Amino acid sequence: MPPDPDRVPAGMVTCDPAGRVTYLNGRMLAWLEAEDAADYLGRPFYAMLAPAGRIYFETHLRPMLMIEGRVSEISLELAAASGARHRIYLSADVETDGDGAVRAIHAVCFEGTERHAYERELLLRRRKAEAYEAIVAASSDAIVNVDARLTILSWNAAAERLLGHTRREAIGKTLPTLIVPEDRRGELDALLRRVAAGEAVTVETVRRRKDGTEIPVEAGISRIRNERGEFIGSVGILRDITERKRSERIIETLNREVLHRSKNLLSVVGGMASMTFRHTGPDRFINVFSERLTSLANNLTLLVERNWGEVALDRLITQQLAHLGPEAMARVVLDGPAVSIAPDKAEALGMAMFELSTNAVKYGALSVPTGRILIHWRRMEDGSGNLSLTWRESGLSEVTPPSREGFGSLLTGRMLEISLSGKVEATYAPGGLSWHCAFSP
Amino acid sequence: MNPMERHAVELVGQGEVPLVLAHGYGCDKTMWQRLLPLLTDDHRVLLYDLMGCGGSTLAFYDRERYATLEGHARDLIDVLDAAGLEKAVLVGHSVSAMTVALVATMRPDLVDRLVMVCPSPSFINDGDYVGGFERSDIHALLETLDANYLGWSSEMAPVMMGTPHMPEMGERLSNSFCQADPDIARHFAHVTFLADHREDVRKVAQETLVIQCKDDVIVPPGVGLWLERNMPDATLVVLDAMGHCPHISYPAETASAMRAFLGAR
Repeated sequence: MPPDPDRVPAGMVTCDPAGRVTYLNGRMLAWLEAEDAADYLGRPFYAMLAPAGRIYFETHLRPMLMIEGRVSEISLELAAASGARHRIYLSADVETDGDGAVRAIHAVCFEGTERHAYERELLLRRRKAEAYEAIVAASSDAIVNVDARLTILSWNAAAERLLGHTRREAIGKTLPTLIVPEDRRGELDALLRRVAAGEAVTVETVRRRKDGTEIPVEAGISRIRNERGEFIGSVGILRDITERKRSERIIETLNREVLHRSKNLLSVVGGMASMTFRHTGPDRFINVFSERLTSLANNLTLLVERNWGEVALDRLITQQLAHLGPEAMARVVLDGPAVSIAPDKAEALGMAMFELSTNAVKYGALSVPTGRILIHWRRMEDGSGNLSLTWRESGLSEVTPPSREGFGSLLTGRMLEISLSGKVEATYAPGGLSWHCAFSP
Repeated sequence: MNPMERHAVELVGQGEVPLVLAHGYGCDKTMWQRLLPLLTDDHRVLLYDLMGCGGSTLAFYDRERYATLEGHARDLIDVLDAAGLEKAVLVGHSVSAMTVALVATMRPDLVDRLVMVCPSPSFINDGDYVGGFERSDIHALLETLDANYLGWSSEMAPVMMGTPHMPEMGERLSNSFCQADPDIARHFAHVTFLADHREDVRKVAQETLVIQCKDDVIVPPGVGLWLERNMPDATLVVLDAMGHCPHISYPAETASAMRAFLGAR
């Protein structure tokens, strides 16, 4: 028994060479919701299609049919009489005569609703996958995907930068041998057990770069499962935390330093208070003590600005003399090469400079209009690298050495010698004080 | 890379009046292969692939440059300059009829006359003007493109190969004919079907032949009349033909309309 075309579960259409329908079967009519084949016979094939399909037919399918002779599995929508759309897949062959002239076009259409839905889903998923790929490629964090046996499956550009291995070198290698230091492999095993159980872990650890150096990283690891829910691998995101680690270390050091210096400072302030009081008595105490505190505070500012590092000598002196004002400063000359002073020494030296300057205002070169001060320093030529610093006042007609040794002379004398591990001399020459200090800066 | 290589230019035939064939949206210069033998006895014919199509160098497809047809028009000018063609007759199919119109106004020195095959200055209906489609139809077209470029991998792609009655074409064509990079195809579809060039064609001073098919689902009959009325020097010839590609389906009729126009002087 020959097949009955109206019972075949596929649409069948035949067209003349111009594309006018000469035959369509029952399934085709059913999809089009048409009663009578006469509604379509003699009309162009594209009349069965929605407008978009008509454009596609004329721009793609007709040229292909005419030039290549056939098309296969083209996704199209039939426009039913009711306005409904019916998804089909169309394949067509051109029948030609011996001279190559077109005799007829034979098309068969298959039900396409489910396959189309499936393909759309695939398309959406692919777009999503492409979007994720773009994110991974552009990520500044290294993203590495491994299978359940820790074989590397993907390796992004940031991983190349962070770990030094190119994509080509990394893919197919085993992750631990490539980038996990021996002493961290146990840790990784433990982490992966948690990951496989479904936990997303984040941990600070260390990985090894291609050149053998180790680098501190924050690693976030999550599992990947297949469509049956089985563990098939994991993805790790590695972030370089070298900078963070360095900052943490600096903050820790600074905290310790601040504590240490605060304690020192408090004992200096305590000593200063009692010594000052002893020499000034209650009347002048507040004035003198607060001046000295200001000097200390200035020193502190400079030290913090320098991050508790070395301080330039000329800046140290200028700052401690700033209270003199511009007129008096015009009579002070600083002369010497660029020299840095260690932070612990800068504190004592700064206070000494302050004491010398207040004495100069009260009793010394700056107490008379013609007085001058030369502050001069140079490296000593004995090969020690030690510094020789001189404070020389001039222009005084009458010089009186202080009658007793006050706290000021302690600051510029014995206390300074101890702090600098150096040698201080002060002489009261005609014309003014000559103060000299030799120490290792 | 020079424009001749970028656009896979072919030069065939001999004759005084040079012809330049610009294919339309959807395929590539292979579209001309049935018409070509009817022209090469009397003309030097230049064929090329629009950027993004056929054998063109896809790496040059720049979405900004090709966001309007002007980018394609500048390409054609580059090709004409590189080939040293002047006073040519530019033949543009479908969307490329607008591209050759742009070239005619941008560089009149290069263009003697125009032949527009199934042209449409605007595909979208607008008041009295019947372009044939609504914007929503064009968006549905983009979906159809997506549905048919789904795989883009060999096992999933619709099979668009095989040339039982033209085996000599098969090998060469199978990898490119009517298969463009899907992203480029979408982009070009946007540019083609959503553009409005009605003002541009009014400025074409050159003598123009408009060839239309009597039954073309893409270009309604009124469009040819609109062009004849609104272009300064256009003549409409309606072929008793079906479809949007008379140069493929009715090469003899198309060639004779062109010959009548080209020999008219």
